[in-house]
Amino acid sequence: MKDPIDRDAAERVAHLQFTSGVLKNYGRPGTLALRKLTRAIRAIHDALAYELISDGLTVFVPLNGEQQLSEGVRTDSAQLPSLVKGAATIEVIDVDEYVLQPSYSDPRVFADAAVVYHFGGVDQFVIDGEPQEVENQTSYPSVFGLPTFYDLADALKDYRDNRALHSQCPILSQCWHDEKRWLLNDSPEHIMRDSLHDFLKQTLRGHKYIDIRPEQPVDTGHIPDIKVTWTVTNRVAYIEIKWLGKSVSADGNIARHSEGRARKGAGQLAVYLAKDEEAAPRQQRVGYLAIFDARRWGVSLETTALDAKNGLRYQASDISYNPDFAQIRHDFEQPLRFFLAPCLTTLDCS
Amino acid sequence: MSSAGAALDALAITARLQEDAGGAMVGEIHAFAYLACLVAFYDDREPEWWQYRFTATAAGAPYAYALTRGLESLGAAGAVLQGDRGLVLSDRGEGQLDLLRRSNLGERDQYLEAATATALMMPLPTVPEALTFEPQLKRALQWAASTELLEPEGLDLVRRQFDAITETLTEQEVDAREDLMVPAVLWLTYLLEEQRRSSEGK
Repeated sequence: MKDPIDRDAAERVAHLQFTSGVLKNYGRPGTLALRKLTRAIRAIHDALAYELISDGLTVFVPLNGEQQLSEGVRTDSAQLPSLVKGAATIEVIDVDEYVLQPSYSDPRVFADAAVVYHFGGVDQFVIDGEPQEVENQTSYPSVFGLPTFYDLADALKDYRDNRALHSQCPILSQCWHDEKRWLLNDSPEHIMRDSLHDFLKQTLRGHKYIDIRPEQPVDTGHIPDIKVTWTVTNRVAYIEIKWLGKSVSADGNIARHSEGRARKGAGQLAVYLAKDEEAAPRQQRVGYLAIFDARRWGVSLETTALDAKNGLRYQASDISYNPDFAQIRHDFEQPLRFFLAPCLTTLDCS
Repeated sequence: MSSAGAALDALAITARLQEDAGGAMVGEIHAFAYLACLVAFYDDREPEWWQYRFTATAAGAPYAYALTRGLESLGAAGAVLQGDRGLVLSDRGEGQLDLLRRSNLGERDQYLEAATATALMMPLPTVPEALTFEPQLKRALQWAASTELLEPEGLDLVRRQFDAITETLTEQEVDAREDLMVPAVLWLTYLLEEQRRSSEGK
């Protein structure tokens, strides 16, 4: 009979999980300090953009809470962005009370008397005297740097501003034909869908994992891109994805999708919602139209230069919908447009 | 069915998620209570010790009627309020939680603390997600049917999973029960890892 336990997975988890390493090294005082440490790390990652800690961040909680181990400036998370310029070493006094040295420290030097976290592009805790990487299955550099959202609308707006605008999401970054993000690859919609799906799965609270998934049929012939269902309630949300801009096929042909595509998506979503209302009248539903907007002015395969005027021409150019389903249907939310900015300088693409 | 036990669970989980996430969602309260119940089971408490039962919804989520009733009563009494980011405790709710913690139900709190502390070690939405891969919930999802949880066969598999993930610590003479948050995190991580490997066809 097959062993129902995946022994490889169990062994891998037991060896790599930082909580067991902390318990082994420091006992319960260590895991209590770890609770305080992870609370503080979240507040610190919230306050400091990754660019501000590109040379390394070390955060630690002394095992003997009374004894301060480092010298530095007493501060809190609100002050950190103005004090940190590339590197920081932070001793946690309380979740939002720190002793800061705005410089790099080798995390190993504190490990005899503290539980120590280090970020240098990846999360690490010092275990057995050496930095050990934290398993990270998310698309964010730090598992402690993920935002979480109570509200789907807030999550979608954060995705627009912090994951889509400069293609920061590693999944979304695969949708481009060129490194400068001027033209899209052929049929990029599934990449956009996977990127948004991945983001919601990781950050949206209260959802059922199985219910955020692509291609949920509502009725024959009508396929919403993403369906979100919440636990213990009868709420459901549908997200219809469309993209605008130019894409390049494998044989070098360009396909162009303009505003009409967005309007068609609005009509499709309205049909989804109407069908679902008929099929499940007691369900509370809401529909979002998410437009990935990669339009640039005057770009072709031959284009060698793109200025801000042409590259960003559509950044503030909202789409008018007629009929405007957001006004007609109570369950149709205002469409969201995720503008995907091009690289106009080398700095934009770094 | 213990209404006082369910009330303590709902209040304690809400208090901790309020501190770390601004509030608690109803589904999260059911999920963390179920995780706490399984942690207590790992700590050699019989399922009956938890005092109320859980079922798996057809969507694969844990659900306890006692918690729903408890939340209704707490809401009606003004102990639990709706905040901007989920349910939060009023002063009355904090007072009630304090009283219950000092009663003979107080022992439950160590398991509730261990369960909610897992959300400090991994992203909060990942905890209920990982729980859907718990053997009994996974089976309910496959059958798309509401089923009773905490049955002997399912619990036996859960115990074997806990034993497998804590074996390395045991070999190093570390008692995983010293901090029950650790085996809880290991187990949730194992469930995610097992699911990932299974979906990759390994």
